[in-house]
Amino acid sequence: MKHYELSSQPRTPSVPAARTVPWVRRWPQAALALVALGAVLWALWPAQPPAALHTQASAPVAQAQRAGQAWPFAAGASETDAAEPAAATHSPWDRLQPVADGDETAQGPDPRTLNAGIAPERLSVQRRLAAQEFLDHVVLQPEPRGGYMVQAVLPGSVYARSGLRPGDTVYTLDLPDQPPVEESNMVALTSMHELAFQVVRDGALVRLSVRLNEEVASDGQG
Amino acid sequence: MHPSAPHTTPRRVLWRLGSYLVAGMALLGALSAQAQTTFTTTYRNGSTYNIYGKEPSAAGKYPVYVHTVGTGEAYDSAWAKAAIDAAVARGFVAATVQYANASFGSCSTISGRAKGIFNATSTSSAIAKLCARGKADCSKGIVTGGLSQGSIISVLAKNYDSRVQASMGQGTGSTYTVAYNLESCMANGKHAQPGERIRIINGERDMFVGGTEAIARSQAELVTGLKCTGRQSCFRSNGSGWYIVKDLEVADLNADHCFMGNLGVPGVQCSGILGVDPYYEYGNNQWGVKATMDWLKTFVRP
Repeated sequence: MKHYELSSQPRTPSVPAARTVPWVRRWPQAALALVALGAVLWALWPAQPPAALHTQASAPVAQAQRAGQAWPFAAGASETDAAEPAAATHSPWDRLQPVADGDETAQGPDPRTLNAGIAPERLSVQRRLAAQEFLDHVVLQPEPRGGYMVQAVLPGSVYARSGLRPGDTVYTLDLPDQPPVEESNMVALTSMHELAFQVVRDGALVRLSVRLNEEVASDGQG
Repeated sequence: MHPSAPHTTPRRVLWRLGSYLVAGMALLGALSAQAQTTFTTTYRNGSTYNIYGKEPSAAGKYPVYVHTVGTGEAYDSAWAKAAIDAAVARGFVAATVQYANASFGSCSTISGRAKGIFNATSTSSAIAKLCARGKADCSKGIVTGGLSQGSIISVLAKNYDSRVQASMGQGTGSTYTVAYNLESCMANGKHAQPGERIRIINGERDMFVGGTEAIARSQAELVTGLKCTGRQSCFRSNGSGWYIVKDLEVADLNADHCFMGNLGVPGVQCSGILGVDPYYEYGNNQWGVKATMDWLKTFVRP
């Protein structure tokens, strides 16, 4: 059986007792406060100005254009360029490093892998297969204000022959005056003998085209 | 005697027969599934492309069959898989290879695609990847087959790999619509594969290579170098040559560019993409896939 002690005096916390806790015993709270302050400062502090990223993105493209190379690190690219450490910069050009080992590195960057985040439907509502083929031959970088900047064009491809080059911006592969093509129809696809699309180059809209039935000197990669 | 006995006995017999049939089918299915193994891999030709294939499950080394699909056709289409199934059943490591086929092209363009698949000097080509498989022995021989643009790649394969022993082409010619003239690489003597190692099968209503039986024949003659005026088929003693498929020989009565298709829209070329013609797949006709694979097998070592 339990016994309860009844008292007329209410129990109140002992205020003087709380004041007697020494400062040295509050170090965990102080440490937590310091860590929280550091986290807030780290989150708010800008790591890099947005403009710097944009400047770095265009620099390697210009470098490749000066060197006459549309496809970096491919067979024939200088050893100096290929040996540049990937961590030297944080530009989108780093995405063009070879992604496979052995003989495959000689082929340069893999567009399908590098463009994996870009759905073909973003480039064409009429021709999904053609858009996928474009993504298999041209490495793109999404632009903050819409569209995709060309980073590299596979040498020998129909897109290289059309005159597409790094620095061009692609918004769509569909042309307003182009009739839709039924891609499940082999006759329709085989009847096409011209590939045409528009890009923005130096602020102007440029129409690029290539005849698919034209023989070229070297055999290309598609 | 139980009154229901005369009634139940035939039912039981039927039920047992049905059970045996189902069990037998399941056993056959299990055995066939055990007999071969499906695989997928990739290769590089600028970009990364897919390979779908099958190989015998039994231990050993096998020759290789490579299939290339037509323009716009999925690399793992029903037609391609029918060819793969027929090849693996005859002891090949068989694979269908994806490539940049959203558009057609000139000799140089299609040659580039063929080189990417059959380049024997590259370790990243499709043929290198296939020959590196444990079950594959490319020294026993490589044979090729394909439809339309894939048939051009099939014929051009030996330009890039001397181990290619024979090539089959469906819907094959040198003139594809009025826009493309591929005579510079497809005429007999312009490709490394000799005419006596090529078998062409064209539909009489193939609009790509002409649209009439006479043109389908002349196109096959041009590629193989074998002339038989007015004939439906023409084969050398080793089985190379050509065959023109007639409307009455296919299930949908439309022997077009894609004569192996079925249930397509009448009159529309290559519209039967979802089905495979049963006479092509299971028949013993000279134009069927079984006869074609049997012919290809004569050029490889088992």
